[in-house]
Amino acid sequence: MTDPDEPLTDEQLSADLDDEADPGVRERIASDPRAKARQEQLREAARLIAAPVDSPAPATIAALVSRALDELAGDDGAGEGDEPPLAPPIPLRRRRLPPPWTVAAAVVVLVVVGLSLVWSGRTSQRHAAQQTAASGSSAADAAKAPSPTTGGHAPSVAGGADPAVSGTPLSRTATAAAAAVDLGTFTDTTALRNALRSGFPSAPPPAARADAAAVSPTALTRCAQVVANTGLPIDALLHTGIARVAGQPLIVYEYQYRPAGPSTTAGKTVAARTLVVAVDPTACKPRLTFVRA
Amino acid sequence: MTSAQQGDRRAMDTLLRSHQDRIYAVCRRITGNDADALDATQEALIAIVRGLPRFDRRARFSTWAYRVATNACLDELRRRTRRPLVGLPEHEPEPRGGAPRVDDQVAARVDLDAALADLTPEFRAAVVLRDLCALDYAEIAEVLGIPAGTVRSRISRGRSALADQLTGNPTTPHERPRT
Repeated sequence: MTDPDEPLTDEQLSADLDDEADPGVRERIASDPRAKARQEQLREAARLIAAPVDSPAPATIAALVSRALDELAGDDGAGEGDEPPLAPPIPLRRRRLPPPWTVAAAVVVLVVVGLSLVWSGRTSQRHAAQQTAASGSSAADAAKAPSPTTGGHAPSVAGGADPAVSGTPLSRTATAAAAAVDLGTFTDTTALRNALRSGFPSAPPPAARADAAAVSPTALTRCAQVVANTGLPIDALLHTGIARVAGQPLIVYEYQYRPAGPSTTAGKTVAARTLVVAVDPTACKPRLTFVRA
Repeated sequence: MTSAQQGDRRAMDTLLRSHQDRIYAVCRRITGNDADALDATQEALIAIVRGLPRFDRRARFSTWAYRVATNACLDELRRRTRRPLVGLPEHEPEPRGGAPRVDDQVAARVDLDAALADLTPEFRAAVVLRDLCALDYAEIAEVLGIPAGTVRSRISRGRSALADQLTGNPTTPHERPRT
């Protein structure tokens, strides 16, 4: 019940809008012009909040759902209870230590793999040296050339992003995209394109960082999924980076690119190419796309 | 629903697609910008997939999903304090027949976002769950884990603050009915 001598409060007026007010309040409002006017203001505020929200693009929705469905395969059914998860349960999941014998087995496997990589690396170096001697090192020269639009800075290049090296399958881009390199800042997308023309940097630039923290890991995975769903002839995600272009962050992905058509031309094998796509981290809209031979 | 709870991928896909728009809308209103809303929506959908086998149907699925989404939004806002904002909304609103001009829509949205931003996330969540999701006070109390009286107070204070800001004529407490 309300005291008829007390003025009506906003709480009473608001509750009346929701049919949750105490008995007698509605009658008092009807006889109080000032209260009625105030309630109209509250009603307008409620109406604005209830206004429809623009939906994301269909590709973005598909990516969100697809990423969530990935969890079906990894669900271990842990945590029984009536309460729904109050937060994404990733941080809450406890890690169990593996049994000692699996640790020992893993060490053995790692040693064997390491030795194999060292051996194959030596073989590759010899092979590469032979190739360089025969054909020159134009790619290395291009990588060293400073970019005029980025203040003379040229990021180091990870082996020219050899497209022959298999990347992460598109089905697992979500996890791979999370490891992003800080590509630095650029005045425009042309400058970014010039910086990435010869390869993808393996290390962040010494100055003019893009502030990779401006882009969340969720955005990295979501946009990777969006690009993967576009139907482009891409095979695997090779690299991910974050650049700041004209003050705005962009996510940069590099994919193996295999357009339709024969893989040989006049009996000569066509080198595999890579597709570089830079998207904004909100709507995942492409801002720069080019193919590197 | 049963198939989805048992891990049927197609059923889960259908379930998520039928609710993602409302979940995104809740996240968009609570977080106040597209980037955080998408991140929170993603986390909410993942949490729904993981938590659905344990959903006991005591509440409606939509109410449970709003609860998951609201918590994902509040978590996202806590994380946002550790990284800078990306900027204003990027994606273009879908044109609607007879709707106001896009410029007007964006301006109204930014105004609303700015007005909502002045509320604490907990107050924002109460108002959004009431006015956007049409939950009653008891349901909001369950979603937020607070007494129904607190829900009533938060909704009132949220609407009052919004009304004052959106009319551009903020009144002092003694000029308007007490809160």
